[in-house]
Amino acid sequence: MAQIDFPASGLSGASRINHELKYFINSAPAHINLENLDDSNIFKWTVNMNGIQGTMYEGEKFKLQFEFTDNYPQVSPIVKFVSGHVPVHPHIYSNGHICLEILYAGYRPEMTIVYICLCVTQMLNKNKNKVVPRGDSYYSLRRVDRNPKNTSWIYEDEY
Amino acid sequence: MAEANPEPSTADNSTPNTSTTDVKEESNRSPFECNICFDTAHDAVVSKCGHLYCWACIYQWINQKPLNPTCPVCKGAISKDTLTPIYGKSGNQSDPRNEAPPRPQGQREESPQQNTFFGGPFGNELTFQIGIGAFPFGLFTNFGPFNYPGPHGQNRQQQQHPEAEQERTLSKIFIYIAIVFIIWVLY
Repeated sequence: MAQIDFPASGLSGASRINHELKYFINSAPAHINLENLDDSNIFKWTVNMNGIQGTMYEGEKFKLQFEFTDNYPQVSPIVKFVSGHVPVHPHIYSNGHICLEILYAGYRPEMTIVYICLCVTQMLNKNKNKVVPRGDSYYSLRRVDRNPKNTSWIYEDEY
Repeated sequence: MAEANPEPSTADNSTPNTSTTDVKEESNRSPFECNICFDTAHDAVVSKCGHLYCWACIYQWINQKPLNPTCPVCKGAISKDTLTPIYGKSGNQSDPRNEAPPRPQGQREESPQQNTFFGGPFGNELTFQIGIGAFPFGLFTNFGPFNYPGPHGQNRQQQQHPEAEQERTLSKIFIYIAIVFIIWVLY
């Protein structure tokens, strides 16, 4: 199908990201907050995330990174943990890649960044076994800094 | 680095220096925002499941998943044909549809009553038979079309075709009976 140029207003990624920014500031729960955004590049967010009290991750701090493209929200953002701030979880690889369906095949444009953060939080909260995924060292070595969207994921558990 | 601050101060700490952070504006969000771009819906269309989108936004989304498009909000099945456009009182000053593909057409159906008396696929034939037939039988055949709700268009006519055939043979039988009846009355 031929590429159709849509009018810029309201349809570029930047417009939606600005909406997200307002929404994040107003309604993000207390355990997540936004690291200072670079004004010149709003297409890359780093979200600080604190482990929830009463879960296995209590007291730990993580960094979740969002990278948007110009056709966001039609195309999902790249979401991964920043190296060095990665939780130990059976579905999170030590290079920061997250095996979570809503980030890939299950993505819908209606999902907000707050929603995605909450899904990741939920994933951590439900965990009862702090282990790295099977084949983690192999995968993480081969896929350092690669785009997790290029991996074909198999989703095992319901989150 | 992040601290576990209560919510209000979290917002203050993390507020970036962009000019876009108007907190008041956020609380006045319109209920007519597109579920994809979060702006007020432009060339609004609504899905069968009731979710509002800009036509351009949902068009892009449907084209991305041509095999099995789903509603971005509720994952219900959607397609270009089942979207309904919404026309407000004040039209757009500049028409963005010059660049985006046109919105789907609204679907308007005739109400059933309008066609009941005129439109039946076998109406003409019946009036002809009333002219020939004797009164009681004429009345019978005349009642035929009233039992059907009015035709809804081509699909319905095709469906009714075997029935029309039956009706024709039936009215032929009535005509013969009527002729026999008249002959019997005369002699």
